[in-house]
Amino acid sequence: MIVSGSRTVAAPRDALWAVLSDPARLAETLPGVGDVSIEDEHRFSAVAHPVTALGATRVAMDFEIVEQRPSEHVRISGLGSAGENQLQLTVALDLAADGEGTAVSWSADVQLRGVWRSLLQRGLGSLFNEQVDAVLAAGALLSGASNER
Amino acid sequence: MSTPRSETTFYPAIEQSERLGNWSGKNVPRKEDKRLLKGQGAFVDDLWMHRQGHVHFVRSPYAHARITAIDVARCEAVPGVYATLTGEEVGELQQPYFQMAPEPAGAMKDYCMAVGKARYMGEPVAAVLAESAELARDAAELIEVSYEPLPVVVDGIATIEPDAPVLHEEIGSNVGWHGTYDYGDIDWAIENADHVVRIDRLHFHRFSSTPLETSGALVNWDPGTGVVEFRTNNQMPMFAAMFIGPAIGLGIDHMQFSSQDIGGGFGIKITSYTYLTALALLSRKAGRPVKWSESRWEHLAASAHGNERTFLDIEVPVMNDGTILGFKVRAFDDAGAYLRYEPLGAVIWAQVVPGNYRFKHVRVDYTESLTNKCPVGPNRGYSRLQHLWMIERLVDIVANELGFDRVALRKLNYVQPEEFPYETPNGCIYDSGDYPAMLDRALELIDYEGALARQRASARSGRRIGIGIGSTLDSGTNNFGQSRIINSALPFSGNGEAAIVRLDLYGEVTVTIGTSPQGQGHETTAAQVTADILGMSPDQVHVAAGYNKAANTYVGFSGTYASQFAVTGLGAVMGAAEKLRGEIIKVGACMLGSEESDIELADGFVRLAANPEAAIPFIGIAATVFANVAELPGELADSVTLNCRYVYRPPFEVPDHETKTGKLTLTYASQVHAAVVEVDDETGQVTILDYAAVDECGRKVNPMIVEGQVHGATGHGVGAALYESFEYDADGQLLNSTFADYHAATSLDVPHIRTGDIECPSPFTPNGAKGMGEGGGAPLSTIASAIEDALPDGAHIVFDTHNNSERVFELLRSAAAAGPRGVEVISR
Repeated sequence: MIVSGSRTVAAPRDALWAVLSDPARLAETLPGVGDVSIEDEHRFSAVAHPVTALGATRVAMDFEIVEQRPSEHVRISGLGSAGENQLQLTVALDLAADGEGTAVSWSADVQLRGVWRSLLQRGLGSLFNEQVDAVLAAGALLSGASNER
Repeated sequence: MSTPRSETTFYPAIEQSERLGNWSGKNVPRKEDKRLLKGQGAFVDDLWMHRQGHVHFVRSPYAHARITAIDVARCEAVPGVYATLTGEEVGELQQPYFQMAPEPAGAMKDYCMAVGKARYMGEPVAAVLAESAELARDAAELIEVSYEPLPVVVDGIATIEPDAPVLHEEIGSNVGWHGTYDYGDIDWAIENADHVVRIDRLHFHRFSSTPLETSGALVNWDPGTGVVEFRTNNQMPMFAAMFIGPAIGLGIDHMQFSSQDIGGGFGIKITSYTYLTALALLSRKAGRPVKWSESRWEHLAASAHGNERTFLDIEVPVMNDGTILGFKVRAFDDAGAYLRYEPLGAVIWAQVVPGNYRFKHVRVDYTESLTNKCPVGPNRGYSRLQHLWMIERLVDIVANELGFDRVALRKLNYVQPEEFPYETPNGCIYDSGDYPAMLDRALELIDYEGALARQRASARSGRRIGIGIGSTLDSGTNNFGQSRIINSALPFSGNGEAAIVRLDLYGEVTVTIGTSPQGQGHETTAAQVTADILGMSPDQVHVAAGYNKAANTYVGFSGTYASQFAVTGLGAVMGAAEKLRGEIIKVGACMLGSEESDIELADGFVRLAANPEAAIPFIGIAATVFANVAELPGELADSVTLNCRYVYRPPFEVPDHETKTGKLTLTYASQVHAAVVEVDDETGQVTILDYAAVDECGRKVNPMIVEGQVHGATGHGVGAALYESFEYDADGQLLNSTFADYHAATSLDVPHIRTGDIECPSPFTPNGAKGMGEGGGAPLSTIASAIEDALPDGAHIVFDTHNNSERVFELLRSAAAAGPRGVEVISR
């Protein structure tokens, strides 16, 4: 499923980029995520505990920053599983200066497998956008700025 | 006492008991209900064994993927985890299951878990045994499975194209079976008919049953004896044994199956043998009993689905007077990823080749295909459901396209009452029936004339009212010899069931049967016929609950499936009860010093018919045989056991593999349903305004139980027609694998059902009964018929069994689009 969106973050582009391109800091922005393990400058893993209709689920995720152009573009892939369920995503974030803030647009290919496909697929678009919103908000905070839509 | 029936030209004469009738045929309250309604039933999840562990299966998230690695180390390190089992181990511990398909599909290597690659979403790839179900589930998440995704095919027709990804490399294609059934001369009929109606495509959708109790088992591989105990709700345990035994090297003597209460089956619990195999292997590995209760999503995603079938290029030759000569069709049956019970479905439909009609010329080119979807299993009305729906569709379409009245066209083409026993073009014998009378009764129940008036009035008000009719057959008591039509090498034929009726030491009558009832009331009906034969009350007859192989009441086909208990199960009970009756009379006559012919059984006594005061209670007979036997003459003592086993065997022969003909089934119950629906022009929503179900199943043993099954089957069919459909996306992901989005019909969805019945006793069965309970197909036909009747002129034909609001909306709009309607008529 392709999910896309955009928003303006009240943080300077370079400051936001510094968060999004650093696995350690990026991991801090992911909502409900713990047990972060940094493998190298491009790869990290984390355990998420999203709450779904099935209850709180433990998802072990592996992330990789597969493409980046400093302060402009980053593409991150992730693969996570929880039992027979699987989440696979590739998300591309594009940043552009917007006054003192940063205009961020994103496009993601998100695949759910297993019972998640049945339960979550229809709400996936809004769920994913909420997650990206949360990441950007956290990213803005980490960069030292407040954020706004 | 029994009387010989007049010999038919089709079967040897049989004897029908005249002793039935005092209790048989009455609405005796169900003996089972006392414990079930009080929550005292014993289902699989209620069972417990010392040292048992709980199993959770790890399942593939991919519909098609190579398994490159499985790492269980982290899982096994968790305290409380007893053992794991992976597909790789299964590949070493299990031989592939025996396949019923001939080569090349017969070379399929099917295991209890994915070995090497997964072929459908939800296929088990590993299993965890732990001290609790919760721990097993949590620990399962620590098993790391690496997959290499492969291309997926989910279309049952596209899958046989040369460029389709192949599921089973050892077969070389995705064709599970292919053959052509050709009866009469359809080419001549098409050439000489006044009209030929051509229908492009009809589709029977994928749905299933949703039993209250999902599959489950408690399995213990006893390390000391090597005996494996399967306490399971599998509904055909001896069939399961035939698959499990050779696969893991167990003789039948080392497999002990039992069940007590089963919360519904409808056929799809037949193929749970794969899970039973995995549980047995896990039990052996861990050295402890293992218990598994399937979750609802596991059941919906990875148990078994009903067969999906697509019919292409249908041609129907019709004469000017409305006589339909037959049809030809290409049928593609989507079996899913494995041939677990298939390709039996490729022949089961042939039990009802012409449906309820006198069609003489039929050609069906049948392909069983494999796709990356959940394997199919027998589902209420298995394989005949699809075929009969297609026939009802074509009858309606012929009527609509050629301007015939749908009622009159059916009555003209139905097998007529005086034609029974009726031989179909492929040699099956319809035993009895009166379809025109059933149709009249169904129409009466929906007030057909009134419905027509409402329809005319509604046309003026903008409401869309449709009236539908559906006729089906419920063929029962299979001849398993039909399996040889799909594979001449298969060693199966005939059918049978076993029962034991015994008189115990204190005069108790106990019945043990080889069936595994799932709610059909076998304890009650078995007690009714036994009571009739032994001259007592059903309350005095104890019928052992459930199935227990140790009771020695089984044959190779034992189980509860395919509409046969009233014939095979009760046939066995009647035979055993008659034997016991004979022994009781022998002993009683000796003790009373009279001739056997002077004896009668009544009220639990053996007595002289001419002098009822001279009587011995059953306890007296039993006590003498079991505890005072020296008082009996030696030859009598040697000849009675008061423990009488009987195997009922229907009078079948082996069908002909070459011509694909023979007597495939013994009895033919039938259903004619009628409905009035309203279709919302704005939304496509279908509302059932009136519904009638008329059933005919021979002589009823317990009419109340029959009516309950009629209601259940009708509700099942209504659910499938309007609400229940498994939807896969192109990746092979099931999009509705929970009750949140697979809407199983509830009492709120099923309309008030007006039921009617007629009784046409079967001349071929010892009690005149016919198997029943699988009439779930009639609503599919009836609702499709009614929706089509409500559509505007020029709309596309109703082409699918599943007609949710979205599909009906599209059909409503198709009239304005003036595109192809899916049908054309060639008239000469």
